[in-house]
Amino acid sequence: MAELGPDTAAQLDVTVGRDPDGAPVVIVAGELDSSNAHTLATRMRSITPARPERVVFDLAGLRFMDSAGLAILVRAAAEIDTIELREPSPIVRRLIELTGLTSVLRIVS
Amino acid sequence: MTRRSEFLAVPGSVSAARRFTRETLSEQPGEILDAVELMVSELAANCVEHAHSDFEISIDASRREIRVEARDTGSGRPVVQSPGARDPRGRGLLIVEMMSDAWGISRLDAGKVVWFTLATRASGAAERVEQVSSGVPQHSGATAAPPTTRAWVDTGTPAPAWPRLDDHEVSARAIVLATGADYRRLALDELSDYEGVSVFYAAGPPEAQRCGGSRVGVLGGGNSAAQAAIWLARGGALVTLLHRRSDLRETMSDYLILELERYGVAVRDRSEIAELHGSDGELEAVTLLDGERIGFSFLFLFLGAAPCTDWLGDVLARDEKGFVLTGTGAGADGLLETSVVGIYAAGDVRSGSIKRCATAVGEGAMVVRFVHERLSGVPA
Repeated sequence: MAELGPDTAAQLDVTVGRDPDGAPVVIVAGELDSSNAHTLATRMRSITPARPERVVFDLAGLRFMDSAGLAILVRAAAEIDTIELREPSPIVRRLIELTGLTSVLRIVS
Repeated sequence: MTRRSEFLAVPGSVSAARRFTRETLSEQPGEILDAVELMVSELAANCVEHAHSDFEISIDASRREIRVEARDTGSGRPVVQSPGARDPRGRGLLIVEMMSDAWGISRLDAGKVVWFTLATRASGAAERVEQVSSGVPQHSGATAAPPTTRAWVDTGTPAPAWPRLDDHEVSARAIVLATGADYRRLALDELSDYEGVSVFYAAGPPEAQRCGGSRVGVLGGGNSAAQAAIWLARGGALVTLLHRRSDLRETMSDYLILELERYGVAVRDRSEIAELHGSDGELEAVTLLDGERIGFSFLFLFLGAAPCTDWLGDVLARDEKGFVLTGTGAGADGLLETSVVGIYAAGDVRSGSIKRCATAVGEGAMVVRFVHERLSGVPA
């Protein structure tokens, strides 16, 4: 059987808001992989130049993320002191723990 | 059952390959499915991004393991990188390496196959156990470990289990249990004053030498007590074997009973120790429950051992005394492998182990080899 269907990227929604302290909150929902990571990367370019001390990624609605998504979070962590990941799914949490990135990507349940 | 699907070298194929994976493995537990989906995503992305090649994913799910192959026609060879915490990229194959039980690359005439396997056997026993493992005098002279280490094993996640130590989750593809056994002690307050000086839990050459010409008591009715008594008697000690029951033959092999006679070991039936006498750790005598006092300069205790496995709960198959089953007894392929793929046991904690320091050390060396073979995909 073949799945040679149309080239549709995985479904991803990115919304940016602010938490009560004024820190940017990036709400990422859907599936984040190499087909759509550029969407999130583009949104990050509107956030990182202002050099906030803290950026929150709300991942409660993110069902899936692979190393392409991880790369964007790590890149953000290189420019921003504190990166918080809110409510990652078990597999996303495992991905971050397994790759030893809990020191630069703080998981907040 | 093997299912295959072909995908074009376009970005959207990565999520299509994941969808195919979820459909094929829809009956697997969530943790297994999540892990396989993530690894498929990495392999598919490598095909699209690096090999720039159409590719085929095949998934074979047997009772024991899931095997996934990603076949492409690209010429490059993927390599596992070791990115630092600040390097954004280079984690794809590293994730496969860390999450799978085994993986590899096979070169084809045109292109290559990257494959990985993940055990499913552990998935049935999704359990999380938390307990305090006891601190222990292990063998004679060993100091007790503080009873503060909490450990639990979660086999609900694949690859194959995640142990926890204290409050830290440790991810591992293989675990070796070497928690040992507690050697039963006499319930006497003064015992600790003598342990390691004149009361021992094993009789080796140094002890035999030290006891030559002395009056020595050996407490216990099992074969290990007999072997120690014979060994000490051969070293020139005057040995009395004390045991609780009325007839040694209930608990000891006949040939050892004959050997006890041959080496002049005195045997006292129905004997239990009520009190120890001596000073500064040097034993002088014991009083039995019936009030009789016997002069001993040394005492050896062979009262059996209890494995330090309470914290394990039902995660692993254990024998009736609580020792961890390994090998055929556990339905496992490897000699030191437990009932859960990827978890091994070595030393006194293992059912049927020979309770000797040398064999425990030997098993420790063997198990490292077994783990290495398993992780490198070479059959043990």
